[in-house]
Formats: sequence, C-alpha cells, structure tokens
Amino acid sequence: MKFLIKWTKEGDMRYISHLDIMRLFQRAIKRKGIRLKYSEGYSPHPKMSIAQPLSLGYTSRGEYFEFETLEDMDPEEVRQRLDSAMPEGIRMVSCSVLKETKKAAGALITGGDYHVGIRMADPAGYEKLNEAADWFLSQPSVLIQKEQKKSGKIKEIDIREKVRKLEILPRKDYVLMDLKVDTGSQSNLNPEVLLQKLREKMDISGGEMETLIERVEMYAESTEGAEIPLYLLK
Amino acid sequence: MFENKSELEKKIERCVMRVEKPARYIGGELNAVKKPAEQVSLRVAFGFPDLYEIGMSNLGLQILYKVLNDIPDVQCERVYAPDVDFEAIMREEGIPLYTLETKRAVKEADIFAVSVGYEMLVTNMLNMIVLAGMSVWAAERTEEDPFIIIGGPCTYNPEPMAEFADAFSIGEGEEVWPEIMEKLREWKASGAPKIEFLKSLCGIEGMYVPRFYEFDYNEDGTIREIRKTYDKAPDRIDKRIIQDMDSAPFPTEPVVPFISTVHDRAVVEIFRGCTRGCRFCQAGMIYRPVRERSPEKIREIVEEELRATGYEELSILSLSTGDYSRVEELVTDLMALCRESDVSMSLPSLRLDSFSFKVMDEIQGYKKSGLTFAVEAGSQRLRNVINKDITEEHIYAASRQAFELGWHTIKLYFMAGLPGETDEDLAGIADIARNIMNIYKEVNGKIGRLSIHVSVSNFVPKPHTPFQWFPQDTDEEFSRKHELVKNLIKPMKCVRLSYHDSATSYLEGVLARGDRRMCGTLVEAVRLGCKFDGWREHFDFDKWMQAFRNTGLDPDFYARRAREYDEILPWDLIGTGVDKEFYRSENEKAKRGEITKDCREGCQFCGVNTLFKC
Repeated sequence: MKFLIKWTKEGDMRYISHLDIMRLFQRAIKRKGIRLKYSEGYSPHPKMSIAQPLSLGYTSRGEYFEFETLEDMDPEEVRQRLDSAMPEGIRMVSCSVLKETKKAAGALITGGDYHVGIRMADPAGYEKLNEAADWFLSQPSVLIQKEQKKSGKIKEIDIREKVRKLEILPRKDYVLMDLKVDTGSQSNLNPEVLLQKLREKMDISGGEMETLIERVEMYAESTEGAEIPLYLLK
Repeated sequence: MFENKSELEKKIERCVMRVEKPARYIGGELNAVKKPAEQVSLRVAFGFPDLYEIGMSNLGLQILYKVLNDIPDVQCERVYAPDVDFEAIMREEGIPLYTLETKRAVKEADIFAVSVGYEMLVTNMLNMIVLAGMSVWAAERTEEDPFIIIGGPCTYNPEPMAEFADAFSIGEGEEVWPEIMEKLREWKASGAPKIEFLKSLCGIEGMYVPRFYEFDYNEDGTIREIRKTYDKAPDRIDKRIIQDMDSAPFPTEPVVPFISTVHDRAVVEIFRGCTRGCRFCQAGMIYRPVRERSPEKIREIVEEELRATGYEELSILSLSTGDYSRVEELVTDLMALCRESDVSMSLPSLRLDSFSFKVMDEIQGYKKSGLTFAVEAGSQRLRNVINKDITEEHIYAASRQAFELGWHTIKLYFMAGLPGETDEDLAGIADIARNIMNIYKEVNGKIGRLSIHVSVSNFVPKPHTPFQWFPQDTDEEFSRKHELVKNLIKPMKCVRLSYHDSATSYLEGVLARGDRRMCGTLVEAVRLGCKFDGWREHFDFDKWMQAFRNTGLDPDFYARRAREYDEILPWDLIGTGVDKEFYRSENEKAKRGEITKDCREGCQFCGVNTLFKC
C-alpha cells in the first residue's frame, strides 16, 4: 500500500539534512513495526522518498514523505504510529493513500508557498524592502546568473516568472513575506535566491537583515488540471 | 516566527549554519532526555573529549546517561568537543561550551564529568574546560564553578590529569554515580564550601580526590613518597566494578543520532573482562574479573533496544566474543532474532572454529568482508613472551578454510617494539603473510583476488600490565623496524602494509606513564595549540616537544626509561585488584619465554579474587 504523509519540520530539526531525515524515518518505521516494501534487484532498497528536499536551515509546515508497505493499513493508524516515533519538531500532520502508480507524488509538484520572516537591524530597512519588492513585481523579467551543477556553465534564469505571489505583511517586530513560487523538478525557485536579489537591490548586507524561511505548502496539478495541495492527491 | 529564546540559544542558532554538520551541536535526538526544569535539582554535564560522531558511539557514556537520568531529580546532559570550525566561531562570538539537552553553559552545571578513553584525548578535555570558561587548574576554580570529575579507562593512571580534576571515578561507573549524586544532594543542602563535598567523596569507594595526596620526588626524578594530606582519604583507591551483569543497568533506549556516527548501530555488551592474560594488554588486566551477562538477559536487551531505536544493525561487544561461555547458543539465538527483525549482525572477535565459519558464512553471505587475526608477534617464541595464545597452525588452518569458503581478504595485526623482540621475530611477520599467500594459491590456483592487510602498531607499555616497567622503543628503532618489515613484504604484491605513526606512539607512551608534574606540560601543549592529537591531520609533534622543553620535563624519562621493581610508580595509588607482585612475576616469566595459562583453566593467582568475585 502506498502512503503519502504530510509532516512538519520545526525548531532545531531544520538543521537535520535530507539524508539524515531519511534515516530517521526508516528507523521510525522499523520501530513502529511497519514493514516497508523493497525494490527488487542486486541491492534492494526500501520504497520511500521525501518530496522536494528542503534546504538545510529552513523550517516547514508542509513537507511530504511517501512510502510503500507490504501490508495494507489504515492511514490514520499509520500517521499516529509514526507521529509517536518522532523527535520534537517533527509532526505527522496527515496521511493519505495513493494509487500505486509509477510516478512519485514528489515528481508531480509544481508550486509551493513560503513564509519568510524578516527582521531588520535598522527599521528604515523595511521601507527599502517594500520598494525592492515593488520594483521586483513591476519588472517583466528579472534575470540572474546561475551556475549549472554538472557542467559548471553559467546560465541566465528569469526568476520573475517563477514568483506568482509576493506580499509583505507587517508583524509586531518583523515583517512576513508571503510567497507563492514555482517549486518542483520542472521549474523551481529557492526563496533564498529571491532574497539575495532583493538584498542586492536594497544594497544591504546579510548581517543587517535576519531571515527565517518556512515552507508552508506544496502543490501539484490534479488530473482535472487544477493546482491542489499535495495532501489532496489521490 | 521569531521565538523567545535565551541569548545563548539565539547565538548558537546564528552560528551552527556556518559550520560543517550542524546536527552535531543541537541535540534533540530520539531518546535524548530533557526534563522539565522544575523537576531538576542536580545537573551533570557529561563530556566526551572528541567529536560528536565518536562520542555518540561510546557505550560507557550511554550507560551513565541512563543511570543518571534514571534518578528523578537529576538531569544529565551531553557535551562533545566542537570541531575546529565551530570552536573558532564559539571563541569569536563568545559562545561558551554548552550542553546539548538544555543548551545551557557547562559552567552552570553542578558537575562537569569527562570520560577520558585514552591518553591523546587529554588536550581536548583541557580545551573543553577552557571553552567552558573555567580554569583548567582545580586549585584555581571558584566556589561557583562546577566540580570536574574525570572517569574512563585513562584514569587507571590519573596523575597526568591530577591537577585538573576535583575527583576521579576509578573503574566502572554504574554504581558510583548514584552515590556521587547522594553526596552532591547532601552537600548542596548543607551550603558548605566545595572542599566539604570533596571530603565526602572519600567515603565512596573508587573515588580519588587528588588534592588530598602529595608526591615527593628523588633527585633522579623518581617518586620518593606519596603522602596523604587528609587522613580520611583512602591509602589506595580500588576500582569499582559491577559484579552482576544481569542486574546492571543497560541503555536499552539509547540516544539515536541523526547523523551517521562511527558505530551507528544497536550494541549489546555480553561480558566484561578477559581471562587470557596477554602481557601487553591493559584492558585484559584492568577489567578483571570476567563477568558474563546471561543469554536470556542479552536477548531481552536486544529486543528492547531494537524496538526503541529502529537500528538496522546489531553488534555485540566484549573483549573477545569467542570466549563467551555459551557463545554458540547465544549467537544462534541472536541470529534468528535479527533475521526475524530484518536486522543485520556484526560479530567481532570470534574464534575461528567450524561454528564461527558457519555463522560468518550466514551473516556475511555473498558480501564477505575480511577475516582478522590478531597475531601480535611474528614468532611462537615472542608470542610466548607476550603470552598471546595463537599458533601459526591455527591461523593457516583457518585461512585455508576461509579461502575454501570463498574469502579473499585477510587482515593480520602485529606489534613492533615488544619486549625481547629481535629482527627475526619481525621477519616472521612477512613469513606468515607469505605462508597465507601460498595457501591461497594452493586453494585457488592463483593469487587472483587475494588481499592480505598487515597492520603493525607500535607497542606502548601501559600502567597496570606486566610490561609497565619496560622502556619503549625510540622513534628511530620503530622506523627501522617498519622499514625491515616493509622490505620483506614488498615482493608480495597482494600484501598491503600499514603501520602507526611513531611520534604518536611515543607521545602516547610518555603520557601513559606520566606523573603529576606532567600536568603543566599538558596545559602548555594546549596553550601552544595542541588538540585532536589522535587525529593525524591535527597532531603536531613539534609543538608537543616545545611544551616539554618549556616546562622543563624530559619525555624520555617517562617513555624510554627501564624502571626498577621497587620504584614507586605514579599509578600505585590505584588498585585494580591485580597485585603488583603478579605483574612482576609475569614480567619475569616473559623474560624466560614461559606462558601463563588462561585462568579459566585454573586460577593463576593474580589477586583480583581478593577484591572481587571471579
């Protein structure tokens, strides 16, 4: 049976890397007596994956993890068992059953919501931030240079078209940047890249601007063509 | 989004993203214990003077973590040595050494306990005390500072650390630590000065409070006299042990690290001690007598541990698995249990008989790793000298069987610089490798995939062994011996030789048999920047020699001097249960090439049964 779990990664858990989270989940599954299905072949590995790895240092309220079990189980039972096996900062929010199709849910991701908490050393910085955001939104395209991982070649990328929503909301002693951006293997924008561009525009250094990045939700295209939160996938 | 956190926590958060492996410094792992503050009245920061990955693999620490946290009002927390990148940031940002559980400064704890596993970790310990913001000198620490209590195998000669420690815990800690907590609770309630707590520790067996003893020296540098300065301090501090392993606490819910560590697996200790009596081996002497855990208890532990951790591998721990009295029954049972639970198993130090081949064939399957023989010396004569009970006939028969079963890799461990060693003995190392190579050719018709790994370590005479009086080889002598073996092995392409760094072995030898005067040298070494001395990339021999020069000590006096039997040794204050007379007679037998039998075949009168039940 194939399950998709929505989970959170908060507090100090943001320092735990993707690979270490995989190991944590594998051990939790083992502890809770859930038997994973293994791939076939010379060196079998368990059928489990984490959708769209999160950058180290980010928190998240909308992470996804899918895996296949040997036995059929009640999804709420699976959620509860795994939730009880997790350290502080990692919670299992919901669990749904997926059709055992070939494609991984993670591969269907197209968009993501992020919250970025921004605290300025100098309150005048907030005005600069708003101006930079307005500038960004008013541009038809914003190009950045990106080095290709494999070839090392420099490629120009338009990050403007990847940002679908950018709002800055005042909070008590910081501002919250509400973002909706392209996420996934087709087109992806790491919020840090956007922040870097805004910092450049504002002409301030990283030290004057404290940021916390949180992923809130991830979306995929449904069979009807609409973008839906991943937990609604069937 | 920006939560309320202490200033220290905020600083730590800001900094950990700038270092390699931030998970080393944040805690929060599965089974880590964090008690509500109002429940806690005594806080122990338990330090391990090496990186997180090494410290988390240490069973002793996991045991004491459990023992202490099982006491309702005690919070025991972990502290490891920060790697050099984080240390630099800590110094720059003013982050003091802190504990992983509550992220509070070590300095705020009641006790800073440190487990020192071997000599080369002492500089890291000192560095940690400095990072904690305290003086390394016990006499200079204030009434507000925590007590520093040092334990671990290295404390069988505590003197090179004597001026840093408020107290040492000698031997196994399971029973001692709850007693220390009792005294601490009483002392805190009394409001008395710190010295009163230290005096009260003298009432606990196995506790050594070094400030209550003074050493006088002869003109030649040897010890003239050890004087007590507090009459209730014991004349000799006998180690503590756990007599009954079945009722001893075991961490069946160990802290499971996020990042992969050196021994990233479930572990169960099946017995302590060893009956073989190898004369070079400190562990074989200081951990006497043998105490086994029953197979039933071991199974119970393994079941609970696998349930509580989800580990995918199990390892069994002891000085020599094959010597466990019911080894076949135990291994068969554990293998079945592991099979049921999809857990792989590793079995170190089995004796290579038909049973163990069956077992290894089953657990290693088609991925056959190497077979390992700790031969230690290249000739039967020298093996008799060191009382190492292994014969070449046995090695060859086992190798032949292994090759027939499809093994291709053999590892051979030897030592150089053993007492009474000649060049012929060293040539014997190459002969053994050659004979194994020829056996492989006989079995497989060609050299093919054969790989023989010969590892030569340098013998370091250790306290509390029959060779504790022996002068260690010089660097030049070690190097000459390495070359000799290397040249003999060179023609054999399938044999790979590795040997230990002579300078490290020398320094280990100096520190192992050091006395209290060495404390100043260690502090100087740290001042000059020595740390992580067990790590090749950090070890700086020149700085060490500089430290000795600056403090006016001659390292050769400690490493390369033959001692007389009647000399007072720095570790004479520490009792292991084994008589000094036994070591002397074993050393004499070594000179005559006489062996001493395994004490399971009859008592060899080492004396340990006068203190403990064998």
